[in-house]
Amino acid sequence: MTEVVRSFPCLGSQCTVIVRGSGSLGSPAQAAAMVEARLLALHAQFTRFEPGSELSTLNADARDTVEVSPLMARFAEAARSAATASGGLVDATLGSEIARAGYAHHFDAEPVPLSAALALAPPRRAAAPHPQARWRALTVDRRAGTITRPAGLRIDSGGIAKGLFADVLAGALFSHPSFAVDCGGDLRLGGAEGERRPVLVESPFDGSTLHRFELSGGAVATSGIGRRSWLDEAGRPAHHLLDPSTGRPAFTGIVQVTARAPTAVEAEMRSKAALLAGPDGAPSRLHHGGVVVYDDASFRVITPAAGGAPRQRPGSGSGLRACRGSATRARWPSSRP
Amino acid sequence: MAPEFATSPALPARDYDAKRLVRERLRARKTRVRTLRKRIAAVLLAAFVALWLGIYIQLVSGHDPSLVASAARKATVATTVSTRNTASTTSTAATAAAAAAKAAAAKAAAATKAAAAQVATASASTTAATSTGTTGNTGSSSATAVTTRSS
Repeated sequence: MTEVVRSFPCLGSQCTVIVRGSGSLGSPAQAAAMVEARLLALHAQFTRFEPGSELSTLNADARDTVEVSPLMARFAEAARSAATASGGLVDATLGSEIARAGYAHHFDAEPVPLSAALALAPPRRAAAPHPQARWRALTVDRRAGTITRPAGLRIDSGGIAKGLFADVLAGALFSHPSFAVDCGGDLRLGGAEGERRPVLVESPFDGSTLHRFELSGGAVATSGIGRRSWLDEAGRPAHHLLDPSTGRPAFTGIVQVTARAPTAVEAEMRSKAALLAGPDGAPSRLHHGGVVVYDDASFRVITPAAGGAPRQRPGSGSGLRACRGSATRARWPSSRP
Repeated sequence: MAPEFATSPALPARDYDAKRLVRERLRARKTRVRTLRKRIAAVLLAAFVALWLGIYIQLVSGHDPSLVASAARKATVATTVSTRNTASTTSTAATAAAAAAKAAAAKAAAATKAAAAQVATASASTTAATSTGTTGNTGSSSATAVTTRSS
């Protein structure tokens, strides 16, 4: 059976579509081409860097209640749900803060080397929700097709939109025997045949493979501070994952989190929330399992129990089955430090 | 005066005709029933033969639905099959198909099915290997690994 792999630049990074066998979208090549076209169209609709996009139009609208497309309404609902589920850590209403932090245009520069950024970074602390919890002001009326928020509150599509795109495209590909859609770090897998596919977790330090999942469905999302990083005007290291309480890039002691979940939106929420929660709070955010990479290049694999919660290992006391090793040397498993 | 000659048959002519009519009707009904039974039996037999012929042809032609999954698994193993090897596999499959067809005509239905199943497996494997080798942007016949990284 033919499998088509199609990679293309989109969403500010590289996206990949893999389709095996024919389905409702036609042959694998046709399906992959249609998914690419659809994803590019979604990017044009949700980017905040193009003034003509629907998101930019929404952010610039002076009214409190604005008519939006059904998908934008769905995104707003997903953003609100993510904020609720993460206790405000995953906050899509930080559009102004992310622009102030220096991420106001397409990021095409070379990122600051992660080790150098970590050396210049402020003391580590876990992120906290915005004190005003502005995301609570974001409401959606699906019947009326409107979003209501205080005028001037700028929404950042961010990773939640990527997760939503992966979920939407997976819905279109479900009848094909096997598929994978990677929307710039938010990956959705599935297919009618339930084929298992290797998913490799890459180290943010040297690109080596830290862990390998074998998945036939569901979603995997990776959030990290290594790819989109820069130095601000004051020479301080910055990246795109903000601490909602300060509006500044978060340095929590974790550099990357990969999360598994049934949907890409949930995986995205969990990975970001785990990274922002810091080393102590991260494992409890990964109900479906994942991989946490720390500042010192060590990493930890968290395996879920059958019920979805992290598995208890008798005698470990951590409540998690964890393997820890060096992300730089990609040695795994090894004893916990 | 001559006595009146009474010609009284055992049954009146009217009753006699009625009995004959009944017998004829019964005979006609029996004939119809027999004809219908024959037709029904013929139709059922024809349907049965057609059904099994259809199944037989499907199996011999290499389209056994129950073998699709195993063929896919075999195709996974055949990732590194070269074009030359694929061609030889194809001819082998064709020869096996012809042999199986001959044997099927002579042997019992069970033996025929088994032979056809083998042919079907070989044919399906070949198809998958061929498509893998000729499609430009196709990955391996096993699932392509995906790397997840922060964007």
